[in-house]
Amino acid sequence: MRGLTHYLSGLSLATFFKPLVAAVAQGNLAILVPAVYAYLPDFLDFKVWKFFEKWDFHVDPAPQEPGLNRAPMTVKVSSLTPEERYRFYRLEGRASRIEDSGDKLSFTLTDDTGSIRVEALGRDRRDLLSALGGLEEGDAVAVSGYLDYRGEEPVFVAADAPHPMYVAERVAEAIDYAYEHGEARVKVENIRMIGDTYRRFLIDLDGENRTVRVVMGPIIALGGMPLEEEPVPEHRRYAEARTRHRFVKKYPKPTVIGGFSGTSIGFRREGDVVEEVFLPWHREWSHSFTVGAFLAALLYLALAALGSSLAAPLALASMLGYWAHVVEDQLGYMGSNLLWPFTKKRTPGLRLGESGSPLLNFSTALLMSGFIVANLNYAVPRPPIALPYGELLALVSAPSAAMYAYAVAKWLRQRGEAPEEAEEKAVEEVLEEEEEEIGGA
Amino acid sequence: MSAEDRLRVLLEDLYSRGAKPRRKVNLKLLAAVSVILSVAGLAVIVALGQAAQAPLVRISDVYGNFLMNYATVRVRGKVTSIPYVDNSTGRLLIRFPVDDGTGSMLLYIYSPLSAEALRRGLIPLPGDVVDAEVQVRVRETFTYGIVQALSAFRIERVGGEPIPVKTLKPGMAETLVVVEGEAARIREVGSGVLIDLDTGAGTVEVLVPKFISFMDRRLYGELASLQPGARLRVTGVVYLYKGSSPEVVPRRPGDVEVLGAPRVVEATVSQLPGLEGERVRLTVRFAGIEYVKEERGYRLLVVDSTGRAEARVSREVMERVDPFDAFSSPILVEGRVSGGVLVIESAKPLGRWNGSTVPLGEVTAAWKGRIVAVEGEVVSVRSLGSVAVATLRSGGAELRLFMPGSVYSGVKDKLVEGARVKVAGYVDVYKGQVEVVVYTPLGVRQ
Amino acid sequence: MGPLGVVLWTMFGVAVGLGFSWMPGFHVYNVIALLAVTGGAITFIPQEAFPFFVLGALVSFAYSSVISTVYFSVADDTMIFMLFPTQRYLVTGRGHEAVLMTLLGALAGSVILAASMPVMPLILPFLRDILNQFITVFLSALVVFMFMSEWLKMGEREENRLKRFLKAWSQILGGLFVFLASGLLGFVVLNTDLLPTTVAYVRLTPLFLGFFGLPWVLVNLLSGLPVGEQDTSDEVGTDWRGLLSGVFGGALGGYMAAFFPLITGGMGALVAGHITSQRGDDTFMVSQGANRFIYYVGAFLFLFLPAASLTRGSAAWLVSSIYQPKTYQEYVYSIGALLLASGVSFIGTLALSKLVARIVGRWFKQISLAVAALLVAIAWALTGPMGVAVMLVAALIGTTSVFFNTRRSYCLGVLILPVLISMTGYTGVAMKLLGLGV
Repeated sequence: MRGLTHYLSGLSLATFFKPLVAAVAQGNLAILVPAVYAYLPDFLDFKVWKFFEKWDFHVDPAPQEPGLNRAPMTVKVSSLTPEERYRFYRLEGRASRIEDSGDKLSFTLTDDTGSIRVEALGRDRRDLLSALGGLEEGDAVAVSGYLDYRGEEPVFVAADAPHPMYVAERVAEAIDYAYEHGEARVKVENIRMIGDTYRRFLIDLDGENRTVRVVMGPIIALGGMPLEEEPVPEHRRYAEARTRHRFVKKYPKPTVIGGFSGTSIGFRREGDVVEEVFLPWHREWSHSFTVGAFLAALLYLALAALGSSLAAPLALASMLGYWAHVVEDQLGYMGSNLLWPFTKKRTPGLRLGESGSPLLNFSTALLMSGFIVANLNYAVPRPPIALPYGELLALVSAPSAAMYAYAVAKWLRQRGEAPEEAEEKAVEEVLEEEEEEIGGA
Repeated sequence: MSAEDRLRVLLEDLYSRGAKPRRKVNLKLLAAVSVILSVAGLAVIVALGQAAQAPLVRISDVYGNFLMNYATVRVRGKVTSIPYVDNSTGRLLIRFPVDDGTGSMLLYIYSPLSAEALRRGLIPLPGDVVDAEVQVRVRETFTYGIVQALSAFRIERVGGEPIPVKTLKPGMAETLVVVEGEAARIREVGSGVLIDLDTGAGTVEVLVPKFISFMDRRLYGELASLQPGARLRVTGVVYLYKGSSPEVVPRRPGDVEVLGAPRVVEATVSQLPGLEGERVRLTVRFAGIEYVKEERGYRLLVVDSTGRAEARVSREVMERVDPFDAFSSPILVEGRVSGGVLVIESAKPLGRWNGSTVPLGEVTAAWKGRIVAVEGEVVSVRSLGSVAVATLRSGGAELRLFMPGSVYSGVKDKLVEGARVKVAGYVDVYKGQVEVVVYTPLGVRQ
Repeated sequence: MGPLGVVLWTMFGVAVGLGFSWMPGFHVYNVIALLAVTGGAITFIPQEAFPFFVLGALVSFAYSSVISTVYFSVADDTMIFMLFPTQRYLVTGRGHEAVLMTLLGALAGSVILAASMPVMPLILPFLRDILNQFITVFLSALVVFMFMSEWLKMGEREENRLKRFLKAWSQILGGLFVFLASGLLGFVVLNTDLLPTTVAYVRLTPLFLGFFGLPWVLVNLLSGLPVGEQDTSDEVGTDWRGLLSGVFGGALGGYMAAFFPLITGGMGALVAGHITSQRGDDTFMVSQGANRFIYYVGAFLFLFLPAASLTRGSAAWLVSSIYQPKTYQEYVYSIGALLLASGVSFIGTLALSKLVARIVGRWFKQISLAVAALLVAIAWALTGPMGVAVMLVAALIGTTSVFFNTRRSYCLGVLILPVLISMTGYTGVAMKLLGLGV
């Protein structure tokens, strides 16, 4: 579920502990600790662990210019080594030996480190000429594109994107690596260009044919809106690479890399095949009951050592808050690795609704707010709502109970859902979680 | 900018003429510079702030001036009444008015400062001069200030050695006095516990303000349930209640000393004449009870195996004597012998009611002045405003009940026509008719 | 005062609001304060008409301020800084559409607000009595959550893991710095005579102009990217689902911000966005419209609730110091005035948006400079040279938040931190620490 829903749950659980509520009157804000704990699993994943993930393959098809934070990066001709093939770069130099057939423009570009033949085909030729306003012998120009080979001869192909083969080859390599070494982590970076625009591309894993396909898509705005209608030219739109080993992908839709950030894909060998693990750094150790208990124990020891009288209730409430997060996420599709390190894999969720579901989030947040109001009501010397505690609890939970009932009814109807569909939703769920803060300013 | 414009910008970035250097933004440098400049700017502001402390203002300049809403200023003035302390909302609050000569304004201390102020005894009394840094709140109808910090809240107390006094005069207002005497009357009022202290030369009123209960709950409770006759020594400031009646107000728990409970003589009725002026305790039964309107109390006889003696008891004390218990058990009374009469200050039946009643028909004039318990069905109830009468019937006999309006309002829901009830009170004969006077709401049971 | 007076003074408020509040960083509170300080308004508006005048001004502010949000905030040419949804619309020539979408949200917000006013007296007093003494908890909970939920935008491409982590966290630390620095600035200004206490009510104005107005000008002047032609047709690209979801979330956030002291519309929106799990730029803009409307106007309307004793928001405090509405008749009038002002402001803002859309591309830098000069002039007029100095420091802190790619709303530390310090009883300690006497 969304971060605030978890956070609110922690705060709500804390209000059930009278000593914590009483401490507020003395200006003690310890009651916030369980709320923090309830948010901690996502915090650990998204704000800490994500950055410490170890990548076996770092795939950056379009390196960014430092200081401009946009691709392409300007490089020298001499740095275009075979490993740089298909990556998106920008060269600066003088043009010579210009040949223009009307369909294909080629010239030699020379900078202070060497020369390379540049080719611009079809639409790229048109774009290049229109942006430069024509090209004459000896002109100083800057050209973007990628390195390729015509036989043995290196060629710099003018383009507004890298060649998809760069990504396809590396992902295929990662799958084989996972087969041989048991596991592989791949980080695929996104392509960010000037004006906060992005080049979208898709990675499709076809296990049946042992093929990794990559398709270059349009230029998009951050929100996902395409800015161009013309498709990417044929010769650099599509690429496929074959793997030596078998792999499966349960989730049928291709992985889309667009705005915001790249993605991380895990591959793990299971028996004789390699399986895909989506966002491998998320909902693993952090989303487990065991870690929750451990972190609560640490809190207890620290507080007890300081002689705090709140050590026991605070640690207990914090553990419950942490666990509430795990339970709430388990209502969704992807599930979590519940008893890490004793369990190795994520346990699939109950599929009551996607974790981003407005209904589930709202009803849970409403329930938790209701608990807070009910509990705090009795912390006031003369409770403003003069209802017995049980009745008040029932009253505040009624709307949420109705909404949950609706979700369960829906779930009963959809139980026959195809496994791929469920897998798809699981992936969408975590993707959405990753993008959750984007609207907030 | 349209999508095409944007693509054009993009293309110009990808393919351009010459090595056009793009303006790079060194975010790290910008961030570092902005942090350094912010810190430097803040340092200057803090330094300037140090030289611009909250100014002392006249209350008349602030009061009702909405432009000064939220201003942090200093006010200095004399406290004009006893601080009010309240915790009913769960947020402890202290409030008192100050007057600086140009006007008066309420100052508030909120939690958690209020709790700290009570702990440190930082509560001003009338006459004290307060100098406080407050945040001003201006509302349409009134203006108040919220104390910001206890370190900027100073009290210049009414000073000097306390002057020992035996009586109070309005002229003593806002002076520190010390008074010693015997507590004669103790009652809880809205603003605290009010004690009439008999100094021998007269009566001095002492008000133990409610805020003392937040400083020392035990002491306050002890004072509220103090037995008359206890000796007290109280140091405090003289405050003119309603501008004219002086009372001594202690500042902190240590200002009230309970010097000891009164000496009490265990006695029998026959010994009373020899114990003039003494406090006595004895076990008796009540007889000859009659209400004397002018005294707001009862005259009665106390009886034990050694004899009988005249006594007086106030309505407040009598109201707490359960007539059912008093019907079947003797009563332990405490009081003082004054002019040969026993003035009862507390009375408590020794046992619980054994359930016995007197049949209605047997309640005759012979019972006059004594306590009875009866049982029957309510035939009629009539409220006459300040009093109420009812008729009880059982086994063919009827009996009239009489009760003051204050008693009736407490038993109204039990005493309804058709209900079977148990009633206890003392017997009186009014215009030749025997009736039971229900003198307390305790006298009706279902 | 009869219905005619209500209409008259409400419309006057609307006119004042429309006239000023499309300017960036120019809050209607400042306008009212300016009128109050220069003395004019208070004397010629009848006391009992004042609440209606302010209501009109606030309503039109809630509408027309969207213009500055949409048209006058563009980042630099490389867009190192992440764009907000409205900015994304502007740079694609759809500024007017963004305005329209936000206005639709505001319109829906005004209907919801008017419809909910009759039930508010049934719920709010209870909630207030329960939650009042726990305000410190909620406020600090929200601040902690803001920091914890900061979406880390940087650091993905650093070469090693530690560098990635540090780069990403520089954003959180930058946010923390902005919060503490603005809090410190607020504390000094609120607790000293640095800005004259005789105009205490407007002391925050130079701070807010500095935090939210000037950094915008600075970034604009760094900008090389032109704002191109704008499409001014009245069409929006959204669907009912997005619209409803936006309105619901926005209203929820607005009520939250209106009810809890010190919690602003932006923070309420963050909370409500999470609770209702919103997504999409269109939903976001609609919800912003509903949110801001209910936040500004709803908070003020609590003032009209007889016997609710809820004074929320700067405008309500000002008005309550002049005239507190007392009768149910005034309460009913207020709902009518709200709807009237809302309709007029909607139409007025739409027209204003078309006008601005036409000139914004051409005069962007000039407008920026003119606004900067205006902001300085206002600060000077209200609080003198020291106000300008304070404003500049605030602007530096506000700019820092831009460079660290962190939430601009951390600048609200200027109010939140001093209040938290005061509510937890540490004002004296902090004063001593800073050498501010006592």
